[in-house]
Amino acid sequence: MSTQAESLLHVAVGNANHICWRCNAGCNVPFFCPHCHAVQPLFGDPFICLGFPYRLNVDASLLSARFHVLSRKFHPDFYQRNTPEEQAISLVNAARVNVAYRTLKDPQKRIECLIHLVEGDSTIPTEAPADLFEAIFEMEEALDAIRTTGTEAMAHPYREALRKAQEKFAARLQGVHNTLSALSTVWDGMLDESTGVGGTIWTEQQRGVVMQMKQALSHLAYLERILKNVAVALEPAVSR
Amino acid sequence: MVVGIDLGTTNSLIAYMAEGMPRVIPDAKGQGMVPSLVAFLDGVVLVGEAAAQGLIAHPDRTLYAVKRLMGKGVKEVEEDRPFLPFRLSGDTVIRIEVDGQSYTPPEISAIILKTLKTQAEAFLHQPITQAVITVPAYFNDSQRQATKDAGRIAGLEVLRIVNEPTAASLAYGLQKKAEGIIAVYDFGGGTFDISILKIRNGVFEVLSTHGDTHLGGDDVDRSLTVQVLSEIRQRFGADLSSDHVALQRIRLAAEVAKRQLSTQESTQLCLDFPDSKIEYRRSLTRGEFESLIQPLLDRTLACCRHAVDDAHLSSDQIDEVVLVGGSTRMPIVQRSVGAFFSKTPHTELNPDEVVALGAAIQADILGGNITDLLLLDVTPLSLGIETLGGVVSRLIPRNATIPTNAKERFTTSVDGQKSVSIHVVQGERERVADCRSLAKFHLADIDPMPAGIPQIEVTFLIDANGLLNVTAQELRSGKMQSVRVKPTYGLSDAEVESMIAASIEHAHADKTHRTLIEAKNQANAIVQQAQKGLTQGEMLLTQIEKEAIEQCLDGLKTAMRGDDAVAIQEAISQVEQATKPLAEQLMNQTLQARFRNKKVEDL
Repeated sequence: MSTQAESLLHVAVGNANHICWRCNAGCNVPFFCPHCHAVQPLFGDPFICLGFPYRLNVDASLLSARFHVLSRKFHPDFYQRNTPEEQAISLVNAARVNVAYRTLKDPQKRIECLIHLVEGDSTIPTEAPADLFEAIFEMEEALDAIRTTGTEAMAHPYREALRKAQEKFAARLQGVHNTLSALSTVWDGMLDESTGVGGTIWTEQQRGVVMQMKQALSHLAYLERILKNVAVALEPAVSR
Repeated sequence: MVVGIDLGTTNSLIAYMAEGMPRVIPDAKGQGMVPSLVAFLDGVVLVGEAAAQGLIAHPDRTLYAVKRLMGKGVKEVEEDRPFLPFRLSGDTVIRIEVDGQSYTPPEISAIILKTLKTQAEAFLHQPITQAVITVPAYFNDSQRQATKDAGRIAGLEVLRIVNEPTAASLAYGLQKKAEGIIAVYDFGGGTFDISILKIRNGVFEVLSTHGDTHLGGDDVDRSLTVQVLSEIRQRFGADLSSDHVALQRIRLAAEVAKRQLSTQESTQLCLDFPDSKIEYRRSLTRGEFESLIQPLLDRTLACCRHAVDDAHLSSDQIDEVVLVGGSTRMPIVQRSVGAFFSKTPHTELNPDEVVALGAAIQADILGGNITDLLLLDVTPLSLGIETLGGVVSRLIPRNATIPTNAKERFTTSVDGQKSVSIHVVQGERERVADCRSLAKFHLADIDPMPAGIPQIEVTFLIDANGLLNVTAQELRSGKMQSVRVKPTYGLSDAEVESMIAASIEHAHADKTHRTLIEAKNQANAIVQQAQKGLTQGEMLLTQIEKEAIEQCLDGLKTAMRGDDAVAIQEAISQVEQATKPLAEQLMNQTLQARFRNKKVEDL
């Protein structure tokens, strides 16, 4: 099945088959009532909104093209002379499309969105990777020492230690990114094997992959935070 | 007909679409640009070129660069004050004091907008009631709202607030049929913006924007003014920095020198102050001038760096660079920007007009005449709410395509708590104190419940104007919750309404007239209120009381037909006196009714 066809199927599943808010007619097509032509509220998660399957590898140019197509359908610019109800729907629809685009455009936000859909909870804890405990301990010591040491000369060895830690953490961060992209490919593979477009009932295997992604994201959040702290601690040395 | 207006710091323009092409509307003399000046001289309000005579003759009554004061509190313009010859007062809304009258920046801007409106009506032979007005892309919510208020006070329905660089890109794109990634570098009279856009099949998608709402040609003039002031201090031992007339003359001379140095290699500065026995002469080369303003240029390039990074691009991936705003006429700007993007920037569009032309195109899109172009703009600043410990919780990131929204759930912390207050801020910093306070939103009338039980979902929506709207819903009952907004800076709706009424007579700028209008408005409200009271409270009144009230009302109505503000005021207080017992009785009745309802509920 081509990506294009899948997407259309997906949008139809999410946004067709509802009752028109204005004329109460049954609608079997998405976005506009076939009877009274009124714009219809857009439903669904970011994937459904933009007509994408629950895949984590997204074709960027298709995403951008779809975003433009939907923006042309819903942007408030084109509803200036419609009824207040239609203006309100177009505004909320356009906001939905924009939020969906912002989510799917960013690989990390895409994964967070999927975790939310599968797990029903989007809070990602910030967790240190267990294999880094020793290095983190050393880094904290160095950070403390730099804070309390008066002279630049005395702080110097700690700075060196910090720089080493920085390299280590940056490498580990790259590792987490690699893990996430590998897991994404695994996820997409499982999707193709089962329903093709994905559904709301997930297999144990799929949940397992999502749990792994969640853990990787928690490591990512931790590593990004400490790298920022380390960068701040090292910064004054440059400007002095 | 929807018109497009560029309400600039130094110049303003109005444009419309004529047979598919945008055109600037000229005044009777054929001039398109209206200097953004308002002078109150001899009881008359002068606008534009006509007001320029007041700059030196009456610096305290000739208002310029008012755009810089829009949507700001007095504390925020502290560094401008020494350079502004007019008196400022107020707190969260600036008031400009002229001849014992005070005006808010939106009211002054409204006077300029009204002039443009009249100019367009004369040219097009039709009434103009709807407009698109441009603002710097980096304007925050309060500055945008102040601009919208100015439009309303001027009698214009502002269909859209559009970002200046984006408007310029529309004009550029339409003319050049451009596709690809373009950067619009907009260095105007008072503000600087950089926007990076992707143009494809008629969709203009802003990828990122950055800027400084306090960086423009005005600051260039100021740099030179400060230099001249210090040289006069050195050479003549005189400090002219608090002499407003002198200051204004130096500023104007600096501006002239700046313009000359765009086309010639050197110029002369000649300033005589006979009272202080000062004859200041100096030749100024372009090189000297450029090194003086280099720090300002560096600030614009730092913004460019941010914008390019935020668009996840490198500067060599930009296909075209477009220069907008009068300040881009300076050769140093063209050189620096060209070097930054490794590309010769486009200068063939008139940098003064392109924003107004773009606004006219956007106006035509909204008017339904153009359907193949679409502008997808972004919000320039992150939006967040205050959480425990004064930390910002970010809800909408900067450069998010608008309209956009975010939802957040709130609950109560005390049993029976009836209201929740949410503090919304704009900015990129982590602490509330370092961001700009936008408004406090009060969710009122929450049904009393134990702490933590109410589930109030608040939707923060930034509309296509870049303006924030907040709605709230109690999730268990599905009831929409009322939201009371207290803007940190800016006018309340009621204040704007009264200014709309007052502005009808602004042309006269005459105090008695204004007091009269205010008195009449107040009288109108009182009459309506009293009449409503009479119908509601008929049962509570004796015939005599009723007649007494009616007599006072008739007196007020008669006074309203006249032009004596004092008489109207007196008639108002008589009506108030006469209706006071009735008002009290009505109030009691309402309270009793409410009490009864409570009991019914309790049973």
